[in-house]
Amino acid sequence: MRIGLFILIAVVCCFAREPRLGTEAEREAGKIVYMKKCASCHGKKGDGKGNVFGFKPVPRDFTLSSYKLRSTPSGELPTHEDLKGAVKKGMPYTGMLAWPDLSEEDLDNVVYFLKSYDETFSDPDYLVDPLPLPEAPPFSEESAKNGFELYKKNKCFDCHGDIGRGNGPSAPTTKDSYQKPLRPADLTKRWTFRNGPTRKEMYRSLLTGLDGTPMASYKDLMKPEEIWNVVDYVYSISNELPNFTTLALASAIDGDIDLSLGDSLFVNAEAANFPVFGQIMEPGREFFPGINAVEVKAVYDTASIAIMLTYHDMSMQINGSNDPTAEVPLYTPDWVKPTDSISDAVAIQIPSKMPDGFIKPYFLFGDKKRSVDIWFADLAKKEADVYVGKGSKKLVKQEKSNVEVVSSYDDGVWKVIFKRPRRIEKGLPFEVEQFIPIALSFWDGHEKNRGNYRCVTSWYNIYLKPAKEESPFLPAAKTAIWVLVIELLIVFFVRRRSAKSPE
Amino acid sequence: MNFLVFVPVIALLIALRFTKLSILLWQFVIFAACFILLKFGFTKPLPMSVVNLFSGIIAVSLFAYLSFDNENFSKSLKELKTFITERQYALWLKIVIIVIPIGFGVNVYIKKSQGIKPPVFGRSIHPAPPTSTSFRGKTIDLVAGENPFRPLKATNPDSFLVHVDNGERVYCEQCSYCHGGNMESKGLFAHALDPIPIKFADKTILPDLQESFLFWRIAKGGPDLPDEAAPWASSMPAFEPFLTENEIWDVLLYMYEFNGMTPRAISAHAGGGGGEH
Repeated sequence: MRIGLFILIAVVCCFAREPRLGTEAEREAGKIVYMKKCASCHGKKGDGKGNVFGFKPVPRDFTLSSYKLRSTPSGELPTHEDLKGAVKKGMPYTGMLAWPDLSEEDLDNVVYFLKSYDETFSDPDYLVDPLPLPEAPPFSEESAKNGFELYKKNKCFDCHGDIGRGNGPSAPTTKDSYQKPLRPADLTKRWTFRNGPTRKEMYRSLLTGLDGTPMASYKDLMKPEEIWNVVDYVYSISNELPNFTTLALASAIDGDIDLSLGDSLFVNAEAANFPVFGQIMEPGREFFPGINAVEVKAVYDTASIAIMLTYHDMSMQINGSNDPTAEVPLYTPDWVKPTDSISDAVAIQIPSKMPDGFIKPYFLFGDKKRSVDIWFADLAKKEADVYVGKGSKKLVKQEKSNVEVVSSYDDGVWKVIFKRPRRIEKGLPFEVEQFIPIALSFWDGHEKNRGNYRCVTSWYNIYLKPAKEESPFLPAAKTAIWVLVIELLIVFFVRRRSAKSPE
Repeated sequence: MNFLVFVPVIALLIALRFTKLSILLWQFVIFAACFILLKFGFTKPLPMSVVNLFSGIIAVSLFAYLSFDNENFSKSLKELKTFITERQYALWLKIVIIVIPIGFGVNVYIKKSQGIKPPVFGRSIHPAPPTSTSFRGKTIDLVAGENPFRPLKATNPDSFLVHVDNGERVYCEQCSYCHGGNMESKGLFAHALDPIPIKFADKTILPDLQESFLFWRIAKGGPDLPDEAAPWASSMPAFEPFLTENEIWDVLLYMYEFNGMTPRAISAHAGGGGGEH
């Protein structure tokens, strides 16, 4: 009996060592799925040379035996389940979508098929067991603190920055194995992690590394509990979700807005996070924006409004200049070398007048019928310019700027504060309790962003909260009393009439 | 559908059919039952605006039913009068008089304490197109215009596949960033767009539209939408500067082939792809 069990285990083990390549029919079925759903990016030959020219990182070349998402040691092939997981979950903030609707069978088949592009998958010598991936121990502050020491000791900051904002000294020059620039992860934005946002997934990234990228495996450099420490550190400095919203609330402050106070003006203001994406609607398209999110805070006093934009930027560019009207080509050729002649810049856009009803100006610098005011801040300078936009190609710089700006860059974070009088002669007034459309633009000097080659947001709203918040009790009581009065009147009249004319 | 709510409410309505109730109470119960169905009967909750709209329609139709028949109407008025004047209902009347204002007050209180929400504007998803459009100097008929390459599917399948392949390239390069490679509207930038990009995998969208309508939407994008469609509430680029006429027809072939769909026939609806979803 016992011997039988041993044989059974031995047989199972033998089978497990056999490469999982599927049957001819399964690979054929996988080929159909691949050709329909994968080939357009990864190429009909599996060499990653599909129809994409904008995606960064570029699609995987399945002939090179190099994979980011693995549970196996660095340099080894991924397991069948690893490949299935990558297809199913995708990789956030890359062109690789999640394919959650593929059936298990389709997933198996498509993985069998893509293994046929690479002979090493059929060689049993290259088969390795996955590394042990334990369940995550509970998070602790102590562990996170140790993690920060290990983060420093292992020089994680070289790419990821002193406190994880993806802005280390090497960040602007890191490349992947295709020799294409690749930004190190911003560790404060867990939702962008290629391997996923959970602690277990972060552990896997550190344990196995992301092959083909500068992210190494720390399996031999740290003990498992040390890796968990680093995971806990990253966990402690990051958010799982971006908490994007569509409304920024401006709070009233006493006294005058003094820009020299900087961000301490905004301590009591609520933060609103907006997603940022590449301007790909018009010529000068930006397919891989260097900025993916912005935090907006606003305060106002009786005379002025101040809006602070806070966003992560891998590198500060304050040499040279920037210009929202600069001519740019239809497409910017891929992988241009960064220069020192183009500076970072940001702009706030509001309609020139309050839109009647729901029709706003075009979100890309307005249109013929409805213009926008653009507060443009070249971060190499200390002042802001105001443009009136009637379309991306029709920006007119105003002679007088009524907008002031102060900006600061600290450890990967730009903070840009704009200030404008609430009411101006020509332009939209910032009155309380109104939903005022607002849209933002960002020019990443590192990516040579200028003119229409930029990062943008959709239209969102800014709303000035009244200084004193009304308790909801009063209006509720008022409504109730009105209804009561109407009811009593009805009862009174009905009773009076029926008393007059008894049936 | 939430059967825990649906089944009892429907049972109650059936029971109501066999019960003799005062007509006013009967109306009230029907209205309340419909409201509960709308509000709690679906696992994916309906937006409150939709619930309010339907509740309004139901209230109006109940009133219409009541006033349609003189006898019913006077009967219910009489019931109302009895309720207000007769001594035996005095306690109930007091309860009603107190409960209704409290209800209104609570409603206002809840609304006011929900915080500030930006206004939501409705917009027609498939606005009526003009009858023709000019594309790079050429006039395209949007009423009777057809995809010139679609007939190849029957007459020359090999050539058709070349066009579909080219469409796949165009889709991947131009459309996938927002609409996603799987046409589920989950492209790289989709989360940052408001409104979100349209989902071609949805079975109710492509088959209901004519290719000439889609040609217009791709060529002219958000900027050319008529005012009633809230033109700037669409981030759809105008592809005229980026794509040739043939490339647009090709990408349409690919979109339909990928989803295994066919476009709406022209004879079925000569007015173009207009209409709302």
